[in-house]
Amino acid sequence: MKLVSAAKLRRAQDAITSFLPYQAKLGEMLANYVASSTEALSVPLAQQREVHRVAVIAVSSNSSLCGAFNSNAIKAALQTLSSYSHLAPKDILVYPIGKKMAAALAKAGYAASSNLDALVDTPDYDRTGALVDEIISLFCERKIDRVILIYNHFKNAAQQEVRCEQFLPVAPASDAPASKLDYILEPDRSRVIEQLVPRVVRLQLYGAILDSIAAEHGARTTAMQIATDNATELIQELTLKYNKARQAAITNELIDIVSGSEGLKS
Amino acid sequence: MKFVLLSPQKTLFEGEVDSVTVPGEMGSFTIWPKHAALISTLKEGNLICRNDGKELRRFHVDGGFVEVRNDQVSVCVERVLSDKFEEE
Repeated sequence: MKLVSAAKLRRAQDAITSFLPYQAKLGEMLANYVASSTEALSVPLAQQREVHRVAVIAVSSNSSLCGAFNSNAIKAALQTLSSYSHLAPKDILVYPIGKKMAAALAKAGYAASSNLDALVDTPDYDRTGALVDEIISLFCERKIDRVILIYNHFKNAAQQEVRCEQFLPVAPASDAPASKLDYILEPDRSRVIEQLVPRVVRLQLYGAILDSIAAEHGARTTAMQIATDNATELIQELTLKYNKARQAAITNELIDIVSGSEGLKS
Repeated sequence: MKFVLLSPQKTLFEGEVDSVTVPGEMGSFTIWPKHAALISTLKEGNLICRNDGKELRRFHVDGGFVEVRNDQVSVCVERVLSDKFEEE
């Protein structure tokens, strides 16, 4: 089990490593764009509204045996949901990704609108994109006012950290010290930003799923390592007990034989 | 100048080139060294990079973005439909 999850962890890490340059580049483009333009970002996806309806995307795993990985994410999700408890249940949409999360949220009374478990087993850019497009169109039609994303971030193989991010409306990273270059924008300013922002939003979810998968396998590797250690310790303890019992039996038998022969002599 | 072609799955090309032809939304165009800073959307089409006047690689991309800055060309595409170049 440990070797299997270690191999899966390596694969998940490879997927992230090859994805990160792309995400970084598009994020940089957006930051450069924002820095080069004088006006504030004015796209529908960045529109701040009063929150009447909220959607929560929460990522967990499909299988267990990975320590506190799922329970941490579920706890964070339920906490977030309870902070919106003043809204009517029909105004809270949940998008659980992963069987464990779906089950926990269903138990808490939040029914999922669709089954997204397959995304955890085989992260697929197109299907993630379709989900994001659905959420984006709901947001643009003002059917939801805020979207929150909850997932486990892969800190290192042994550590995961639950992250709670605002997914929509978009809050562009303004801290990047982008160069103040005067960009030529083709075909025009609004068209570029209209295409760039949804793309960046899609990447955010895809990145979060990949991140969560890597974290899951990291957690499972650790959990399996601990299980192996515990079993080894148990085996040692039991071997010692077995040897003691065997030794005691042999000693008893010897005593019987010796005392028997002593009895014959006299 | 440096050219890098990125997709969510992997980095498809990274290296030194002297010109890149990209399928801009307004029409295909070629970027030479010392191009002004630019961000452009791309449509589905062919992407060709050349070095020393010879063609290095051809890709058929499904749209995305190109950014030119300080002689560094970066193209982000969602998908390369096939590595084979389709004649126009």
